[in-house]
Amino acid sequence: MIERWFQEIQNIPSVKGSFITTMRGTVMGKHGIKESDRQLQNMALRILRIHALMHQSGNKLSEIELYWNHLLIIGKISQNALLVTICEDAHVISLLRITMNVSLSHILQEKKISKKVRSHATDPGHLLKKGTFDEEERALLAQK
Amino acid sequence: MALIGNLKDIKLPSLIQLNCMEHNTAKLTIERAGKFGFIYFENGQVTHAEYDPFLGEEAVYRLLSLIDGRFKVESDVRPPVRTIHTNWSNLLLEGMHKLDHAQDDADNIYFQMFERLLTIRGITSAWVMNANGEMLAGTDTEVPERALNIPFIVLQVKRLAEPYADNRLEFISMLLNNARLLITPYHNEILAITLEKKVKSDTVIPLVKQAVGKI
Repeated sequence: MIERWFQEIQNIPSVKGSFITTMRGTVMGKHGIKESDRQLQNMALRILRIHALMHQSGNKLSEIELYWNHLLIIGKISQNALLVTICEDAHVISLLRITMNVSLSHILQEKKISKKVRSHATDPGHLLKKGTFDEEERALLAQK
Repeated sequence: MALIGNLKDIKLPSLIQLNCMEHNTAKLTIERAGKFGFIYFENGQVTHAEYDPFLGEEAVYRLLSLIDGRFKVESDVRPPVRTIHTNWSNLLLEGMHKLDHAQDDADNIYFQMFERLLTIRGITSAWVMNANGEMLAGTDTEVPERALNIPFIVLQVKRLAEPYADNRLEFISMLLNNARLLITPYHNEILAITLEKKVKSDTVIPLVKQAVGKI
């Protein structure tokens, strides 16, 4: 069932793939993605750290769009889940935003997904307290 | 009735000129990011100014560098004290002269960029910081750059893209409770821009690129 909603995203031109994780970065589903679950978890955790940082400053991050030269990554956070889409062209962004919103809400209706999401729901601040940070990251976090 | 507006729409030199040429006695209040400045006119002359911690002519010079801020002109309000004795046109000329001299300063380069950015609909503030998050210049003095820890965000995004290392990060757009935050590398520094929530990043990014000279 969730495949159908991943496919909706995949049908948008220039989309490479998408994946969904819990708020701990555990990959619950993916489509069209070559990268390993470990790489995807790393990507998700970095987005979730930003979410945690915003949460600490009283801001709720619900959407993040990352633009590179020939790459666009969009992350949507809703109901303790993160949906990420990797795309090669930013021209499709309007359609992609809408499709991701609709797909995420449907994916979260899946019992298996919603159960896992609930079990992984956590205080966002934990991601900044626990986890592996290198020296540069620790120095920047200590500035706060 | 008070005249109310924003310095984005009417520049301060024009406001001073208007009040002096009309031989007005009035108090001009300027507010930007919670900080207030005052210029008093008496029979068409600038006679007193305050802009914490400056008083008199220096306060006027500092106020002239503002590129935005709300203002209010109240007629028939007299100054509490006289701190300026220079003719208004000489005062204005000197102020503009000082601004011109500052044009080569890095700060001023930033402020010219901010001026261009603030003409873009939906942009509410902008600031530049170094890689450690120290604010170098900004349109608002009270931007919570420390609280947001933007260098940490940029670092996470750069690391996140390591599987695609041949790519150069252009923009980070984040939708928050009440606003959208746009972040972009700017030479060796970081430029952060706050936008009204309804503004879409893809609409504003080409305009921002133009304003900061990226295209």
